[in-house]
Amino acid sequence: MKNKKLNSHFDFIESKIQPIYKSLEGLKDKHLFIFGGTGFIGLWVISLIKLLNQKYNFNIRVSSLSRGFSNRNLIDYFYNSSNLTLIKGDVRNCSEIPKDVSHILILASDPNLRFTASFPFDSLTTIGEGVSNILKMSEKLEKIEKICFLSSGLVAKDANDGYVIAKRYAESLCIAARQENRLPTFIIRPYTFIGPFQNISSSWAHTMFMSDFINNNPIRILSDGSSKRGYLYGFDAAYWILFYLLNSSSGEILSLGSDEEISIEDFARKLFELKDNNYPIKFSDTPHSSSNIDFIPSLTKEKNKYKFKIFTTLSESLKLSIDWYKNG
Amino acid sequence: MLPNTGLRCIKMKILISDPTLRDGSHAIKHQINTNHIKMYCQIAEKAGIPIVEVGHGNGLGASSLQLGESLTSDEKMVKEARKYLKKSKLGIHIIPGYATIEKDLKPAIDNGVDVVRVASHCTEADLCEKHVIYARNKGVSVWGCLMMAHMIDEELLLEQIKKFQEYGAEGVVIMDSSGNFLPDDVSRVVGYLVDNSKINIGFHGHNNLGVAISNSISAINAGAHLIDATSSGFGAGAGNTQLEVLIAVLNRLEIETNIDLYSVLDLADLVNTIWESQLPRITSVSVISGLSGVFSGFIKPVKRIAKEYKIDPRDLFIELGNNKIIAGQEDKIIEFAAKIKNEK
Repeated sequence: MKNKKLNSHFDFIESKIQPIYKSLEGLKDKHLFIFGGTGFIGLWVISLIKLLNQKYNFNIRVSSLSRGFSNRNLIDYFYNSSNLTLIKGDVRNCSEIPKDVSHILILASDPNLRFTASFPFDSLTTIGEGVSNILKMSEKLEKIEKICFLSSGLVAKDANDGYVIAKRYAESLCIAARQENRLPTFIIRPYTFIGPFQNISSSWAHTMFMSDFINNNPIRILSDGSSKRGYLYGFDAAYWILFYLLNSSSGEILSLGSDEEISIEDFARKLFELKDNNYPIKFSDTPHSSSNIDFIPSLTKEKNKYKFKIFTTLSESLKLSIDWYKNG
Repeated sequence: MLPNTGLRCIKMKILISDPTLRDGSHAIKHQINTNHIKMYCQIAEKAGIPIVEVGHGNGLGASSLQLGESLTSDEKMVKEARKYLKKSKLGIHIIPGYATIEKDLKPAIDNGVDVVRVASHCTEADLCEKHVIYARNKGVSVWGCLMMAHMIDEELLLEQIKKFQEYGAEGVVIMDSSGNFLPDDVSRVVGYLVDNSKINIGFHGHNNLGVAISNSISAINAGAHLIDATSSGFGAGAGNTQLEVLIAVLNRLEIETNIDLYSVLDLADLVNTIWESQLPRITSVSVISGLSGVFSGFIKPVKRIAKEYKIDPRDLFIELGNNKIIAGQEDKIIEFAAKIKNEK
């Protein structure tokens, strides 16, 4: 475990959370249950809670269910506190949630479509049956205040593959559970995130670019580079998820991402600016034009109602991400 | 005046990939030597062929008693081709199982390969995940290949293509390994895949039924980005799409490839000179191979085993086709030959 790298990670979180930590004080002494607490978002949420507990005595307890984790050392480091408990298990088969749980975060599902492409049945049932199982278990919780389902920004788009259909179905289950059983569910639709804990061998353009960067390869763009994305850093994503967990209305659907749009090509150039050597940006010999689809959230409601703002700039996000991955 | 072809690709650049020194290896029992590679690559470079592929017919790591032993090691082939290919990219073909990352892929990339094509049977893209990711992370261009594509319909091919897409491949080549497709099949399949996938689609044809050129044009019309073609059709079975003919046809259709026609004709002459007596052609057996949908690379072992068992090779091909035997199952040829013999 590289302590220097993790120290920098927590130093950064501390610098960002210090002016705004009071906005999360409603979570003090609460018991959160996180389904999928070892993925990208899960580890960012745990990072933030760990720091809130250590520096500001929030005394948040977390029980986290996860069925697998590749980096055992890293996971052990994050769950080394008595307040943070990691349970190995499958969301589809989990039979009970502790009675004093007040907030539930449903993060279980792999947004990396590589997993869905290879294991579609497993992926889709984890989403559909998993959410169904969680909602049924939640009916017995007397102290439940909020249940957050992390869906997908693709649900709002004209996408109809199995992963998106499963997410739509799970959203419908959350809405139905609120209507029928008065469960306090709300939905967050995430867009493009960036930062430590992402698997940079994923097939997203920005992770591929970072992989090229780290491996000292030319940054390669497979499309014509014109499609646009907005990139939200992991800290910002974790903060807003906890903020919405406290402040959103039951039944609400919120988008989470950055609306500061940048083309794939410009993103690659921005990354390239961080490089000391002169590797060029290379385009595919046969750039595929149908990948030219923008993926930007509309954040009007989030800005008006919750004063949503971005704390970490894209340049900062890129530098932090590269520093993290460069250090192993 | 541009003929009214209704082409969707008229402004699209078509990438030509030349596997003469790989697929052609099947036609000569993998006896390509370094001098052949030198002569071929020098002219291919001059012709401006975008990608030149080398290796054993079944890809790197496949040299074996079962599939045929290469005269020249994979390493020597890659190194020799690399000496003469400067603007042209150097490609390799690998089938996970025959090729491993440590033994074959890593040294090939270290020796300067630009394009890695990772192939599996058309239903088994999962097998390619680690190889695609490894090559992708090493900074080379990676394509997936789905062999024996005629065996499943386009919806199932699309599922496999999505896997390659998520592994990070730049595109996927649809391989008509047994030369079973007709032009309408190619239009339907490639058109569907181009319309429904987010990565490039390529086409690799074989000439068992005499329609490899027409199939390749159908693929281009349907939106394919990459076409495989070999000089004089030098390849497995009845041979591949004939490169010099394809370039001539594309010139006639005013589709740009940036390839010099005269140099490509010189390549064909070179291949004719070196391997004149072994050049693939459509034979009664290769027609049956195409019709029965059996991998073109089976022709030589089928002929040999049929002779040994004193049975009609056409019966053997039909039996293999009925049992959906695929590339990599060469050991089944003897089993079915024995079965036919016993039944007689």
